[in-house]
Amino acid sequence: MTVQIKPASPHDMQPEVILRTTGLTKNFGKRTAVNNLNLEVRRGEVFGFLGPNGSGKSTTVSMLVGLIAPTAGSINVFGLDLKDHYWEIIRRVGATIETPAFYPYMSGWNNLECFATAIGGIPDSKITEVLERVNLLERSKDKYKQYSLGMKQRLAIAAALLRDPEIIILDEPTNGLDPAGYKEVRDMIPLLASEHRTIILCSHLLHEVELVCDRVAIIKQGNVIACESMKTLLAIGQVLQIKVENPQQATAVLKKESWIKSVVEKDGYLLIDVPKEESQRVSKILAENNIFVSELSVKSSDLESVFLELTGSNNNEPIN
Amino acid sequence: MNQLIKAELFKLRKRSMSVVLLLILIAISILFMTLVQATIRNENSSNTATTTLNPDSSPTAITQATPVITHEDPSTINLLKKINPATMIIINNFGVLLAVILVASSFGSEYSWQTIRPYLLCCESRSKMFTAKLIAAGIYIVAGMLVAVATTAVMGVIFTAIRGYTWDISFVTMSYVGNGLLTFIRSFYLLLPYVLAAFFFTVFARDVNAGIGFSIGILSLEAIISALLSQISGWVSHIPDYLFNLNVQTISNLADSSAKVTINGSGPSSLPTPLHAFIVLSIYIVAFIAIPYYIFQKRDVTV
Repeated sequence: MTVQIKPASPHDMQPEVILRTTGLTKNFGKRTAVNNLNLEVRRGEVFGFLGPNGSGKSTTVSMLVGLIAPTAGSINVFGLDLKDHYWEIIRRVGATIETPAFYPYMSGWNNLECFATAIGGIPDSKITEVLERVNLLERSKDKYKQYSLGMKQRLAIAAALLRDPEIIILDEPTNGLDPAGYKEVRDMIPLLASEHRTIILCSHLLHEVELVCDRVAIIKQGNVIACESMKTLLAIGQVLQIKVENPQQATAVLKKESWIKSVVEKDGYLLIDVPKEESQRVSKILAENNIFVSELSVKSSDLESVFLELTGSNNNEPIN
Repeated sequence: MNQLIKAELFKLRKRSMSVVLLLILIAISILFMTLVQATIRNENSSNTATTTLNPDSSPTAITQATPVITHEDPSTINLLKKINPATMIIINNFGVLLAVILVASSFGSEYSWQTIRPYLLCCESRSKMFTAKLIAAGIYIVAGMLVAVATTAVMGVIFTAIRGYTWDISFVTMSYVGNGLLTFIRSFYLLLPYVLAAFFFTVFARDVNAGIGFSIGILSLEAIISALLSQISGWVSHIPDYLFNLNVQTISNLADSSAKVTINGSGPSSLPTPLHAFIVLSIYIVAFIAIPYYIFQKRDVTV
């Protein structure tokens, strides 16, 4: 018997879409918190979800886990509609929503035991495992009300991991953590993703998102203004940096070219807003005008600059 | 569903408030039986040989609700016979307050601690969580009622032994047990409108204080308002027939004369018929479950 192996199409190469929102909209009275949101999250990726304060991030996340009912649109997870298959979906999703909230009169262990009882089929060994994973096992018998904010955050992550979820939604997971705790969580995210889990990370710490996310969606006033791979997104802010003997003359030459978006002189360098693939073309034009480039490099932008550029936020506005 | 009920019972068991409420109930039961026993001693010199419970007992005065038991000879006094009616007085006058606090805080605390969000993510559906909460609270209330029965029984036995009252339990017939069980169920039924009112207002306002406040307000003010309304001529005077107090009194009066219990003070002398009372209270019970259920199903959990 001959087995014919069909070559994989580019479509097949993409990991399956595990979560999809279609036209997701939420109105609170006359105010539109989320407007026609279309998102796709693929299996195994770390997906960043960013937006300024009040952009609709938390509303979106709450809709994704069924705490808020959408005004319009649909949420499809694991190929199932959330509205019709709520428990089938949610039992495979772990989430920390905004600030951690647990029963203050119970210990960390008892809180997880209570949640595990409600979910059903979770052995005590799993509680031990998740508490160990977030470095909280030693303090697990202490009352929750005695926990620091960092410990509460870690307990929330432990609770999210209880059901061995395929999708983990982490809403500001590093809030209140000290630098060591922050690093722990940051290191944990790629580790969780490596276990074939999909992570959706909402964070105001753009550096954190930049380090761990594969793709990022940026939301502003309820609308997605960018949804790209981290590489593509960072390329938005990329500029070509060159050094020439006569910057003024070079600027005049380059500004005549319509395909060059902008030329700025800074610290003796010229910063040219063009895709890095066009560096050779820039060099050629300058050479044709007897201007010779002594240094040429691609200056990468960071996520924060891209974020600020896309959202139009000024430096004083808090990012959340 | 079973695991959700287990989780709710786990929460109630771990909460010190549940234990405190139970201890208060035990303390009230002990105090009440002590007062009953003291009344017997003080009245011992009387020549009256009747044994009755005051049907117009008020929740605000234990002494008014205390059975007035009089007899000549202590060895012929049967304190054991008074255990059942005394327990029902305790449950319907004091237990109702404790049950209101328990039920209101069971749901209201989920909002105040914001645990409603993570907990809902562990629940198969909102309706199941809602039902599990009510069932768990119901189990705790019944357990509390049984604890009150046990406490008054133990106190009755202790005082009988100390004071030398009669150990005659010949009154414990099948009919007595049947009536006792019926009174127990009736007492539970009479708690429901107040307890579910607390539940309704807690869910509606997302606040434990609203539930407790409204329910205690009904308990304490309804009798006064009803009395005032009944003084007004026309249809207004019939409004109390459709409130809690008179209907609760009607149902409680179905008990035999030695086991009458009332939740509130005396109202107008004409009470509605038992069927009317049962229908009105049942409508309240159904409404106080159905409306919060509907609200909870539809409402966004944004706290």
